[in-house]
Amino acid sequence: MRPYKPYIPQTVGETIEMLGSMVLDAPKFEDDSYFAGKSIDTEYFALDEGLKVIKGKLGADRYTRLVKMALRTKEKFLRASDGNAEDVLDGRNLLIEMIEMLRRR
Amino acid sequence: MQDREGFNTPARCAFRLYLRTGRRAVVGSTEVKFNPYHDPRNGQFTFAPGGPRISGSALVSPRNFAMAPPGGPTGRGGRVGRRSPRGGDAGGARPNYDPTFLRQVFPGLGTVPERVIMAADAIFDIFGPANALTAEWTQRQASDLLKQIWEVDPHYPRSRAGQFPDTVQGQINYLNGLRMDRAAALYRIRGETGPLQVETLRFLQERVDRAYDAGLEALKAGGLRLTPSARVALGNFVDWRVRNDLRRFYNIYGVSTGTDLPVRVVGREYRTSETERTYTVPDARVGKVAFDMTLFRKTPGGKQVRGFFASDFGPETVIIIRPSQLGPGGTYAIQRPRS
Repeated sequence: MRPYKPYIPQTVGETIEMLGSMVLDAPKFEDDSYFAGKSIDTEYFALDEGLKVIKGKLGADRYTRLVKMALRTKEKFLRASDGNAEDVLDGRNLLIEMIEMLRRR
Repeated sequence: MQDREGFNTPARCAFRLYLRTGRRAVVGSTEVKFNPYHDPRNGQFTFAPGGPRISGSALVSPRNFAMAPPGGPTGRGGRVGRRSPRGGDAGGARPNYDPTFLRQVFPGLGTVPERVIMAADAIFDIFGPANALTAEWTQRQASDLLKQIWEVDPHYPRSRAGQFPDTVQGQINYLNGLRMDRAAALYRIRGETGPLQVETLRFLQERVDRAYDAGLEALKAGGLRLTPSARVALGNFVDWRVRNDLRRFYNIYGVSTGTDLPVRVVGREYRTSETERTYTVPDARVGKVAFDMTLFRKTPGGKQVRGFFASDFGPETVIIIRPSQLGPGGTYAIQRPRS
């Protein structure tokens, strides 16, 4: 099995799909099958790098807001690993807000 | 027979079912012996291939397919291909547990235009119906795969041979990884897309099933708003996750994707032959095969499938992948119509 390597989204559409994927992966982001080695850190690394790739299209203001929202969701999911369902729900809703923000091009 | 150290416990039975078919059973349910001539849903005798387990043998006309019940056609009323009831090569007597071409997964593919062909289970049946898992068997498979890869790519790292895992899940991952390494090597070095089509299908089916489970869980927890109905929301999130997974998958195995390449993940496929340029968006394409994941059944006469066939890349086959949890006959191939 090849070692896990995060994929950095290259377009706004790919970033939306990555966020949608994260909604289902939250809060642990782990995978015991094809992507053994995937974790919350590898996923947030890919998201941060992906937002940098599309920064020019987003504009400075939207980019900064999305980075801050991403950070908040990560904090919530890290807290949720203690079993707090409310944090998972909040984190998912924030990810969905990020998707909606990206869709308003 | 005496139970060897809990060999036949419900959990072990469920696990063996997962190894053989990729399907997850509820622990505690009884695993019954498979009989291809009985339909396990109602116990009725069926003429030759008819039960959901062997729906892969069925060639179904578009009309019969469109009229089939929501679970999908089981082969009755359609043309039945000649193959072993437990899957395998078209026309072959022995099951094939390591298919490298789609016609081994969809027996009869390429014979009758516009037919719908249900997937055989054999593609996911990595250990064979009668065999429990043995490390020796897995090691033999791995050794064969490694030889095949080195034959195609002499630079493939020798160190991969010494990485045989201890756990069962690790061994499954190892075999799947080697199969994909073989497919990727054949594609990169010899330009063959057949094995890559099979591994893409194997991967997509597993990911669709997992994403569907995760989506249902998130829905139950109240975490999927955004779209008008729960089912549409679920469909969107499953699509997004599986497409994202497919990009990572190709990225890890060094398969380049793009508009002008034989492999592509999501993108507009144009039809330029008409005065007005139109397009459709399959979830993926590999060579002349389009892949589309969906919760809803799509028919050969539907606008979207017709659009795929009409697009400039001219697919010979469209493969529809649905969650296994929705019932048998969920994954099928549609052959290109004559006109």
